[in-house]
Amino acid sequence: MVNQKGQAALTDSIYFLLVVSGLSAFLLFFAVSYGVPIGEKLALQYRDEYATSALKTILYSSTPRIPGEALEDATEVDFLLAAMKEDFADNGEFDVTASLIVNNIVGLMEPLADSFDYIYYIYVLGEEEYAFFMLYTTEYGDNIPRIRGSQVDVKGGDTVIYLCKPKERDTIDPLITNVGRVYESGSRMQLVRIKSSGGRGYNDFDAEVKFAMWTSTALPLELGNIENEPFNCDCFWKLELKNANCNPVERICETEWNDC
Amino acid sequence: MFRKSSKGFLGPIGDDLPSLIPLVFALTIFFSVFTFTWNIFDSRNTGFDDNIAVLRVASILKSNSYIANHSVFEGRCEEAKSQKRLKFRAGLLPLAVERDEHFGGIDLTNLEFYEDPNDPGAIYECTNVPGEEIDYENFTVIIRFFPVALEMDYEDGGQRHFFVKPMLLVVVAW
Repeated sequence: MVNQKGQAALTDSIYFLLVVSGLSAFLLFFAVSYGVPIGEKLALQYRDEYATSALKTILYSSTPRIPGEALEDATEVDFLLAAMKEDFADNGEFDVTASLIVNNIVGLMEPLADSFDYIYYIYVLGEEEYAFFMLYTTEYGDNIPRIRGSQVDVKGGDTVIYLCKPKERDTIDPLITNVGRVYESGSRMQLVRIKSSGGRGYNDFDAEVKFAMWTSTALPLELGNIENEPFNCDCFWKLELKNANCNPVERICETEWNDC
Repeated sequence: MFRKSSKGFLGPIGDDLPSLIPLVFALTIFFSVFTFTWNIFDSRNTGFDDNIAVLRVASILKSNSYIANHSVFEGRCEEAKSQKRLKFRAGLLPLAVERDEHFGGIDLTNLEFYEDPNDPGAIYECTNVPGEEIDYENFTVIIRFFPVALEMDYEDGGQRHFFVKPMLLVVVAW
């Protein structure tokens, strides 16, 4: 036994090494994962606040009554929300103000436009129909990033804006579930419409306005191109971003908004 | 002549010498990992606190996303200056919501904030380090921006102009 003293000490130290290695591995794991949820939470809060601020700004903003005029030199100015309500009151559609809404939203999102896609919609709760629906999305087509060995080819997609009115509320659910984390903000608004039966008076409608954005994502083919009717739209406008700031002179279906 | 029981005996320290090697190795591993973990913990906490501080400054300046006039912005600015953790420069940049116009971007090397054309000198800028340039070479720069609505109310040629203009609140901190 006396001759095995050194071996016992060696065995003890190896056990010590094992214990310390385990402890170090735990510490290393802790270090790598420390704060990841907090970082995600902070990013989430920032993007959520951006979405909320964007929605508030859209609702607060003014617009020239004559499309194309600058705010500073406009002949007549109104709140965008007031112009939208007036437009809706006529025939239950946002046809005259559609371009103003698009211009405002695209302008507000321009600082993030390269990396985020978004939707903005107004849903009339009582009527259970979309009064306005805008989808800003990036169509990657054949530009999907490809990996060749150590080389990754990344090409930007083409940005397009779709305006249409999905027939049912839940038709946008597949889109939302396919785009990853969504940063959104919503509010209630009240719309009025002149009674279709004629005479004086208005019908009131409770509506929900929602703005949601997500990191630009290549959507599945069946969703990535609205022309495949994933939202079951009767009629849509497809705007290329370079033409988005132009104004329609009339409502056009299944053709581009190309009166620039 | 050595006794039989002391064969290979190198002394009380010499006998345990091989066991010291894994012992020292273990202690080195532990303290290296501990230091690494501590540094990560510290730097991430600093990062979180900085991010929260920037968001707090932005939150004070934008408040309900509506800025009624320059004096309201100045009032919020005074409150935001109480944030001592970071140096910051913040202000408003115009957004383009009209046809064929585009946002000019955020140029850190030449950050010029919006000046009310109808009230010369009323620049929508807030900083806790007046006159100091953004040191983006020696510090980590954090940028946060939010859309806000700015109310414009002025008279020009006897005609009153009132409108609400979309702007971008930019907060740059270092």
